[in-house]
Amino acid sequence: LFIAMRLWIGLYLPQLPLEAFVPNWSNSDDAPCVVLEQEKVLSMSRQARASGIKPAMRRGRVLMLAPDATIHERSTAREAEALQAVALALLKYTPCVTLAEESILLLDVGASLTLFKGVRALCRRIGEDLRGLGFTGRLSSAPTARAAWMLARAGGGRVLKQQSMSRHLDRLPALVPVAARPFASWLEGIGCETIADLRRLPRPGLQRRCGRQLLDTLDSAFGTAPELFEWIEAAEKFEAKIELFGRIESADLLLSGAQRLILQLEGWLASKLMAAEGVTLFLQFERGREARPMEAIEVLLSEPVWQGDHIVRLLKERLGKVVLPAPVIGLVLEVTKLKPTAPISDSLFPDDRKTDEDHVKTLELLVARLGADRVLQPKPVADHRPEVANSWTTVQEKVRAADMAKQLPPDIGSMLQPTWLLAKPIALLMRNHRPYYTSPLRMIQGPERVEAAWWDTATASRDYFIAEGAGHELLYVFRERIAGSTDENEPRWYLHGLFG
Amino acid sequence: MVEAHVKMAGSGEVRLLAPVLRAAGKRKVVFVQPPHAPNALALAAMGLDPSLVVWVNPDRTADAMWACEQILKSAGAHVVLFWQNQVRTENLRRLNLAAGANNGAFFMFRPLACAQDPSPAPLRIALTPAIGGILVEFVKRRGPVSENGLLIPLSPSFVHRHAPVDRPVPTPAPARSVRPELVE
Repeated sequence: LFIAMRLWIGLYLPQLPLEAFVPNWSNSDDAPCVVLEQEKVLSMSRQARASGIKPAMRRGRVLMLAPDATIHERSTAREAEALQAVALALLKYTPCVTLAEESILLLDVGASLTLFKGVRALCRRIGEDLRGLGFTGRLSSAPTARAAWMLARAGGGRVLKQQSMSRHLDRLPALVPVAARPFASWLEGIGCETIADLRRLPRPGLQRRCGRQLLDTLDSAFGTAPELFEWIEAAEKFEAKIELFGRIESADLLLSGAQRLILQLEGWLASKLMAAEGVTLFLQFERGREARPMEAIEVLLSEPVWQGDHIVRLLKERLGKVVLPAPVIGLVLEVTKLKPTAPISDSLFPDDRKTDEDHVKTLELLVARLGADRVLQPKPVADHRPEVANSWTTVQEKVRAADMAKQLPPDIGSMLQPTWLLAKPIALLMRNHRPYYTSPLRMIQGPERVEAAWWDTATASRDYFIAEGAGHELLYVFRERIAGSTDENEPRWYLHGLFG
Repeated sequence: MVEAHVKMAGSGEVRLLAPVLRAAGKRKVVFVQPPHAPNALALAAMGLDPSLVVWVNPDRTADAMWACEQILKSAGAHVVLFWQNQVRTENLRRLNLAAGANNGAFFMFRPLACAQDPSPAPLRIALTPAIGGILVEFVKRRGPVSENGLLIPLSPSFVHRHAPVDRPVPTPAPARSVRPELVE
């Protein structure tokens, strides 16, 4: 018997005020960065902490300690936007994501544990995604939402069972619940330091002094009272953008930015049960003397995907080739083509579709880096001239196998054709009236007369031979027949192919 | 990973692999940077379905290495044929590792002059054209060193009417290399 486990993951972003401005992957530039709230330091970067800046410092002291510091005013709008972005990216793990007080996200993952192979693996994946999004997070898990909230707020911790949860919660400081904070001095005065102390106080008295809310919080944390949530829903149309602070001039950092947008895309696709067939990344450039239009990097996929790593790989190759005319200040990601997700095959044995998909993805990657004209597939044409018959086209073109078979001669198995065709036939030297290519050639089969394209300017009138060199290598040569030629002019010989 | 050393393009190196290509089944056959344009008709004549063939022809050597590694690393099984003149040993090792993880086949074609250089490939052969076929000599193989090569007939062959005159003679066994009771 399988009963879905009740489990919540709480996610607290302690550095959110700062990371809403500067994602943590751009920390490499060494200017310290500080966020002020009401002229006092609220949050600061690692470099700022190293230069001696402490929370609640005033602006003047900050500028004295680090004159080159970038100072931002706290922007709650930006923080809300960033939280929405994180929530959207997390929608791929569970449809039940909710935003609680103090910018903590709560995820009901009870039903997702089997799919993502356990809570440990799930937490690891969420952590990786957070890093990709550019945030620092504290993760907690607990059987109730409120307990996950409290554990995350207090610094993280993973509990799975009701009993161990009670033990962990009891040890937390009494001031973790928001409702307890106005009574901090009173609680300290009566020596109430932990949640356990708080619970030991008589309930009616606590309710009279601190209000109903604190008791409700504790009850729902310990699982004795139910709680209701408002789930975050993905927008109808996907559009994610990111403003890059600091002028970005390297493609690598651009890729980190694009990765964040793609993580959001993954979440959106998962919640809508859709797969993307084409996405466009727009680069916004810094305004110089004249406005520059956004540059669009379009990625088209032959197979719809709902996981971002393939798009990231393609974008990486594309971004590596882009020449940036000016520093980039913003990125916008849009989905141009959508398709409903095809269900994953649940057959026991590995099927061909999977390997075909992999193959298509690899070819797309090659095309993204090398260019479409460098990755080719055969597209034979029914013609007697070998150079026309052996036509190749880009792999992105769809060539039906039936069409291909129609263009091939019916007795293909008995044909003697060289494996290599030279791009352009090489005129052969003549020695003692015999064609010469590194050694005198001996004709061993032929002639095979080809007369084609008399209706065209590229008239071909040739006698093909298979020739053998002194080293026993086989060559495909032809003698050009010129209309009206007499015996006096020597026939002209060409090398057209090699039997590789 | 099989490394083949070819004196010049056109020795019969692809025709030698015809049975492998025919057995490719549904696997893709990828030609990476071949010396000349592969002829789809000839491949079809060998029994290979042309729709399985991919010709990757990058500009630069580094791109070719990268492309080859990507193909070998991708999950599907492939038959990869890779032509390269100058390869550094560490790159060879990378390719060998990637080929080991892939359950396809990987053939690397290099000039005959490189046969003296060390290489991690478990099988290295030198190919020279011969009458009616190709002479395969073993530069390196698993097991004892093999001095005499193998003559493998290839199609098209034009020696049906007569047996080849210069057929390699089997090396005579040196005295006492065989136990006397076997000789009697």
